[in-house]
Amino acid sequence: MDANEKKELERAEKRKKKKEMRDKIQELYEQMEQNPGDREAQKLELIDLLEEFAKETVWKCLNKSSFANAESFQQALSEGRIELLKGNVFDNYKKSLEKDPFNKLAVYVNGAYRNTTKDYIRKGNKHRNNCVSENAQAEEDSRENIRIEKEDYKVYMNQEADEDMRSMSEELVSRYMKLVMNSDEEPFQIILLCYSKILPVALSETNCLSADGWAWKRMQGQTMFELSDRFVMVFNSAVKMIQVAFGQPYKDNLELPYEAYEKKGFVVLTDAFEQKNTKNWVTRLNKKIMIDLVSAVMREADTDAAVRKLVAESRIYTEFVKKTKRN
Amino acid sequence: MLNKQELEDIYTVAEKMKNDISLTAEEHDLYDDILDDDEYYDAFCLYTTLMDLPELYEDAASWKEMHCTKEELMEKHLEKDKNL
Repeated sequence: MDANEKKELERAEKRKKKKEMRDKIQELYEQMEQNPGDREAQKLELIDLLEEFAKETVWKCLNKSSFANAESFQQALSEGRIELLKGNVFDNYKKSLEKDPFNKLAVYVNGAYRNTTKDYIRKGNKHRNNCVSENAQAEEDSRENIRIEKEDYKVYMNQEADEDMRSMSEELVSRYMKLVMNSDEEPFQIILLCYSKILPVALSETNCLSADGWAWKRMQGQTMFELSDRFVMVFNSAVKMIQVAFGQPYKDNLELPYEAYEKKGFVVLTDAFEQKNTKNWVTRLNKKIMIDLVSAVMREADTDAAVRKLVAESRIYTEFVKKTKRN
Repeated sequence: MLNKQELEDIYTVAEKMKNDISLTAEEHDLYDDILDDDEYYDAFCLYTTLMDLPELYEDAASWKEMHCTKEELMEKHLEKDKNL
């Protein structure tokens, strides 16, 4: 068994255990709801189990902050427990079942623990920053740390990381386009992706109500050959950072016969297909391209420092998005 | 190296989180794994960034370099097609 297989086996085992615990919690909760006789004792047992279930999540949250220590761990768990004892979490869980009847208590409470831990970190950071600002020298010495602890990535993003972010997005756009243009998937699906997913972005038409509708309107009456040429011309005129051309697999596919047509290139896509039947094309193909792209990037990151930097930038970006959403 | 199934599962979680769709219990477990495992987390971050690429691209692309508006551009090529 190689290291990857071993790792996957461990993950599967861990997931199995979590599922068992989740089911046990749900069973106990449902019993408690049906037989409210010894409710308080049952509730305490349930809270113990929920805390056990959430421990890992609490630690993971703390571990990504500067509060990764035993004392903070106990305090964060206590704050989560206090919230549970107040009872609001259980009431809110019940309400959530109206929207999502399959929601499990353990999953819901796990989210509550995650939020209380984030609040704990935020409060701790605030307190720390207040202390630090009282001491100008200390502030000067630990400027780097404070900036991160303030969770104010926006300043960092605007002032220092802007150039890195720009080059990261350009590199990813370039890789994405290479995969699309050289794909050997069905050309009808590729061209629909080009018109409904790529062209609206290149032409800043992303505020249109339906990307498919926008694309369909612009593809009316055009053969695949015409659509292909026009896409390349419009894209290359609109986008300065890269130039594209369809690869050989796509071109070869257009030369193949299709039903009564001598070549796929002569097919008028909007006549040959109904829009409603093409709904999943773009989602499916886009997903495939993204998976191929991520797979390639991760493979290259093992040996190429520039690609490793790309991965690191995407981490910074994701952290930034998470923090922005939270605030 | 992550296998295809793992990459697909992580994609699903990233996509749901991007669209604010509730995760299933199994997906929550996977999200915990994502936070726990560097390789999973890298893949998740790359997906998140890729899914935001249209917004990122719009910020990055320099429309100032263009000498005509996007409407003129589309029209220009439509005209070209008609003349062919």
